[in-house]
Amino acid sequence: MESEMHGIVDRILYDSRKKAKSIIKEAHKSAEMMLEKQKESARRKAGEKVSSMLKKTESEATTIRGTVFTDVRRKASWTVLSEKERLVTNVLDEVKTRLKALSQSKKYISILKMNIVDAGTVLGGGELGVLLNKHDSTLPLKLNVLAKVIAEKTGKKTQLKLSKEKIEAFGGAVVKTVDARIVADNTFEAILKRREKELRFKIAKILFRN
Amino acid sequence: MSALLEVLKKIMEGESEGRKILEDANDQTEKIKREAQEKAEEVYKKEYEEAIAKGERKSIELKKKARENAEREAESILHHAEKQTKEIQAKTRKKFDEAVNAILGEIIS
Repeated sequence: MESEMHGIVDRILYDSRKKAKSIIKEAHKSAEMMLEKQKESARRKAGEKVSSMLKKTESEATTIRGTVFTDVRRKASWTVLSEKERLVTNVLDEVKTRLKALSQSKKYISILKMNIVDAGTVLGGGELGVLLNKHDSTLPLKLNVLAKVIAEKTGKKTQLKLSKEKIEAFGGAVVKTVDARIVADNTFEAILKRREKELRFKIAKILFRN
Repeated sequence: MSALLEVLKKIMEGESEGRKILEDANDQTEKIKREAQEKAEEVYKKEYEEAIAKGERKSIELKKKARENAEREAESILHHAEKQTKEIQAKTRKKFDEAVNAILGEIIS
């Protein structure tokens, strides 16, 4: 009887332990499932955001591509344009070099005379002062003859007087009214500076025509 | 009679112990559930952040590749400009004196 009683008690305990084990196992499984659902939900939610982010990225990538091409095209144009600009400047530099050489030649004196006459004519004749550089001041210009030419052109009695003031220029002349209120700067440097835009355009037309 | 009572008593004690085992198991189950619920928010956040970070890395990589590809393809434009520059240099070499003389003519005529 006692052994039967022990059998019953053991059976009760065995069943209880088995059921307890099963309950705990089920709880673990359920917890794992719940956590897995959470993960899945997080992935789904993030997936929506990532998908929208990647759509935006596609559009940004297109913009980046466009920007790269625009920048490169601009750089390419700049390369060509700056080279053209450099070549035009080279011509102007050579013009300056040749003008300097010309100012030391025999041909120069007639150019300088013409230069003074032009400036005097622009000023409308009258009593005028002529400013030259140190070298040109020693040239036999015959200012009275030039004054007559100006007078003929302007119809106004003209007198040209060589100024004691010397200019820093490699060629050409500055002519002023006697009161120094009106000045015609016909030095080579001033002519080049005054007409630089127009001259650059002319140089470009010659250099880059087909 | 007393022997029978003793047997019943032992069986009842066994049942009581069995119930205790089940109660403990239920308590443990509650604990597992509670812990899982506490962990759930953290798990969600971690998983979400990891997925977003992965997406962000992919986005950065896509943009980087787009730039690299565009830069590689655009190189031909620069090569063309360099070639064009050399052609211009060659052509203008022949016209250099013509341009200088034309400008000198403008200045001294």
